[in-house]
Amino acid sequence: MPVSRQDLVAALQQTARGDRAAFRLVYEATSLKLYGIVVRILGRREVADEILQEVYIRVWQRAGDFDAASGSPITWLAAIARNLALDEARRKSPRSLEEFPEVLQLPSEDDPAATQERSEELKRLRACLDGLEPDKKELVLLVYHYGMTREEISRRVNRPVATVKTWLRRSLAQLKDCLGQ
Amino acid sequence: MTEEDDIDGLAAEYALGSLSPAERAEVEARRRNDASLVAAIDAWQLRLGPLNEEAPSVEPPAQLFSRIMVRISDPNPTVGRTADVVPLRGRSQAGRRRSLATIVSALAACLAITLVWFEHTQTEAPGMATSSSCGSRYKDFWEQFDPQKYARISAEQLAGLSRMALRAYDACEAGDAQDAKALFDRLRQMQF
Repeated sequence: MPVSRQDLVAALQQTARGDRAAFRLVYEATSLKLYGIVVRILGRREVADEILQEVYIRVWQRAGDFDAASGSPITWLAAIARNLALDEARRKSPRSLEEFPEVLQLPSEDDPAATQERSEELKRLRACLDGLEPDKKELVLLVYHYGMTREEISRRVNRPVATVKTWLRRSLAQLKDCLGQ
Repeated sequence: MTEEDDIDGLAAEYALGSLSPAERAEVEARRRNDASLVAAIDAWQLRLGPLNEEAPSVEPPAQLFSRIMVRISDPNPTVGRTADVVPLRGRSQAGRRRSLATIVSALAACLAITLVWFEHTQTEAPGMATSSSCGSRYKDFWEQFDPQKYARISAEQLAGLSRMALRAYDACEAGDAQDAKALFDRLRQMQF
């Protein structure tokens, strides 16, 4: 259900005051995206179901912590979803490559419709990602979207974990410089 | 490498998601008392956050929201917090035993609260036929549950039973009569 950022901010603020109708609106507006994030990291739906419940219980308990001045509501919600999904995924780490679903498909660069719909923030970030070496860019995206650890990447690319750590740290520092924030 | 670089690198990898379980746990413990680390993590979540637009939209199960509402309707916040830290899988045996002891007491409290809550909703809202009949079925299951079974079943079995009973209630509330019947039937037929 498309809801404006302003409406979502208001709904989160009302949720913080115990308003269940507002909480339902937050759920309806965001659960498809948050479930998509969680499913992609965890792979298995039955585990993702449990984690999505935990995500919204945390949203209900901590909606008052959301600060509209310091970021978008969806970024705040997605951070909660990603952190809970990553914590759960780490309980069984390292995972074998077979456990990653969809053969690690990354968003296509060639889809003009998807590119057009990108926000300005995503366009800037994508431009900076394009400044990385292609294999490093792929690693950054695989980690972000699938929650792969350095150890899992190390086995995937057959290089030492320390090397992977150096690659990731350098790539992230380069991204930060490029974004200038 | 300066300490500032190290904190920023750690925060970056935390937000990206590449840290090992041990490092992740370390960051989570450290961020409670380290404002600079919290600020660095927040900044990295903002920088990388636009990538969430690329996540697919996937429809969650229809009854998930009602399950969440059942959880947040629990008037005892201690039970909610306990449930929050109950592991889904894994953890050490010692941790497991401690968690199981917590689960048993939490479940007992949860059951009592739930029964009170259903009685309350039934007297307050007699017009809500579906809701009260689902509540009655849930309540009937627990009322007919042989108290002696509590002595025989393990805490894990009790937790599983409680989850299944809530799933049956959720399915009933969501209007999925077939699923609800199957679950309630399975609950009644369970042997311990």
